[in-house]
Amino acid sequence: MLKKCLKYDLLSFSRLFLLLAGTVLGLSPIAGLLLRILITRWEEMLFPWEILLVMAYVFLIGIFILASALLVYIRYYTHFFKDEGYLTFTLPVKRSTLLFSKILSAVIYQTVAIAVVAVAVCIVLLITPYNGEPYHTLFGAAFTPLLRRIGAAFAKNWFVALLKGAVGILLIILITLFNHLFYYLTMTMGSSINRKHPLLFCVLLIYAFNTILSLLSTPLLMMMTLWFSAVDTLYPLALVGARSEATYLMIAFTVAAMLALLCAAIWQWILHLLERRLNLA
Amino acid sequence: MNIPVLNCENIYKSYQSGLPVLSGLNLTLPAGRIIGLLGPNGCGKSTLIKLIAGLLVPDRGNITVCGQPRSESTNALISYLPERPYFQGNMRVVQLLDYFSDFYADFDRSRAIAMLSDLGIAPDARMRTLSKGTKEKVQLVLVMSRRARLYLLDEPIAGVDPAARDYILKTIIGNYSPDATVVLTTHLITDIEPVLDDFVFMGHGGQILLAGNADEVREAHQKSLNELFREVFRC
Amino acid sequence: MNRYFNGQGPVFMQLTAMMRTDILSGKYPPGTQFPTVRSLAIEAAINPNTVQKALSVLESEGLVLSRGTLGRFVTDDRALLEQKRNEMQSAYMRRAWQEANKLGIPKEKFIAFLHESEEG
Repeated sequence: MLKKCLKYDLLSFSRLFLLLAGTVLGLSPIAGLLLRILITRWEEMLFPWEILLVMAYVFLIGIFILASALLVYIRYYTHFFKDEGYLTFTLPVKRSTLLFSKILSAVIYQTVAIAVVAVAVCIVLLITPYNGEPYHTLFGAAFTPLLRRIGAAFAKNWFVALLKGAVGILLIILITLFNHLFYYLTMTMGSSINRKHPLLFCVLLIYAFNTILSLLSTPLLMMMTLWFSAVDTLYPLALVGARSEATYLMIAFTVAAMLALLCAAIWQWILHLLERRLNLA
Repeated sequence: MNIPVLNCENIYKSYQSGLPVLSGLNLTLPAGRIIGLLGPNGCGKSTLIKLIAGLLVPDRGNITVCGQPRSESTNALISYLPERPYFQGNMRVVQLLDYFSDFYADFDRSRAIAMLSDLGIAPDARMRTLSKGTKEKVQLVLVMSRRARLYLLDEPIAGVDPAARDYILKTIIGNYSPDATVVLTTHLITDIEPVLDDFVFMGHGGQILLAGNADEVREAHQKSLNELFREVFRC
Repeated sequence: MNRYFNGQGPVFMQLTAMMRTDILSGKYPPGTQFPTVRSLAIEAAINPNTVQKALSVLESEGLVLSRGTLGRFVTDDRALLEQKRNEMQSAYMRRAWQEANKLGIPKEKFIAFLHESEEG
């Protein structure tokens, strides 16, 4: 059943998404060429069109990223809380499966969007020239030193480097998940509180959560600083090399654990609302 | 097949505002019947249907479908037709056939296609281009093409023209099986009377005022159900 | 409104009467197969259980015979059919005569009317 849900969730706005993605990728060589013109003939200084078009392209990338997130949220909302909900919630599918399918499709679309943007940026960088020493394109200028640093880190201590990479990816995934789950929760809560103006309540809830978070952030940061300094003194540094490496990893893993717990809690809350407090118009 | 298709025990449900809709409703429905759930607006007919379909959860009480407690697996036994259209606007009719085939093992695709062609509905039309009446017909075709054990039809003929109404009633009759029960709610009692086996008059608060076999009650009172309804629910 | 159902009394009785008339008038000749419950229900837009009840009444009267999986058949007992037809005709004539009496039509006038209609 999950595969079927996923199929329909992914297909629901695939045409629009692919159209945008295709445009971003298709226009990237042109943007690269424009950038090339700008850089090689910078002294002439009078290229209003080229500058505008490159800015427009950057703007397009921004819209693409924003749209891929928005489309996912719109899909969640309409499929669950508008008239379609009458079909969705009478299917022989568990609510947890429906929710999981939404989250999975959100992650997939987000990943694809980022990949598309990355490829487009690489294409642009590959076309624009760079006249510093052995680098001939901006791509080389940007990536060669980066690759060198990564190589050096691995050469020094491959285990630590691997852990750092892993925790970095984990954090990115968890932050994305948390972001999606948070908006899903506010939409679900908004709908169950008031079915006539669910979006209004959703927005109010977002505002309320953000306010609470900013109020709590100072004491939270203080507690975290205490925790990390305690860890720092207690943790035997000989085991993984330099002290700072261990501290960094400890912080990262703690944050990841907290995020994971939060995500699990929000997941359960949403499920409870979907199972017991469904309130379709 | 002696297990009742539906058993509602002591159902209580209130609106969010606290207003009670159903207070201690008890209802048992056998298989192989076409049953009319009749009552004035706001008496809780739609709420009861939604509780059985799983869109709402009762505050108190149990719902059992074919002997199993109500859950998403009993959804596979229930075919629900809501009052309003429930499709994505940009889906085509044929994509909806795929959707139902994917999620419901008991969906009879060839039957649906035959019915759509009877009603003159193009399979590649997009839902949002269809008129309201046509959308309702498509929805009914999909719901009646399933070989379910319990059909819940909320106002199936209200928004359709009289010719389509005949077609819908004949489809309901033609779909009859001794294992399955059809529950329909409606205001149009005259049209539906000859099709019903049994009926339930539901009053405010979900009270069952009168229930039984349509023919027997007609014989006893020498009146049509329509006339009886007017008497029972006199304002 | 359904043509089998005039809103008064049980549907199955009206349906039984109509089907009996159809058989006795020859619409369903003796020995032929009677339509299935399902097709009758759909055609008349009446509940199949009601149709089933009506057919059971006809079966108990002997007008229709059930041959299991082969279906239902009109009886080919012509004596029985003749007898039932006579019963129906007598009942009808009795009703017509009662109606005529209510309107105060004298017997001679009624007979004269019948003679005239025959010629016409």
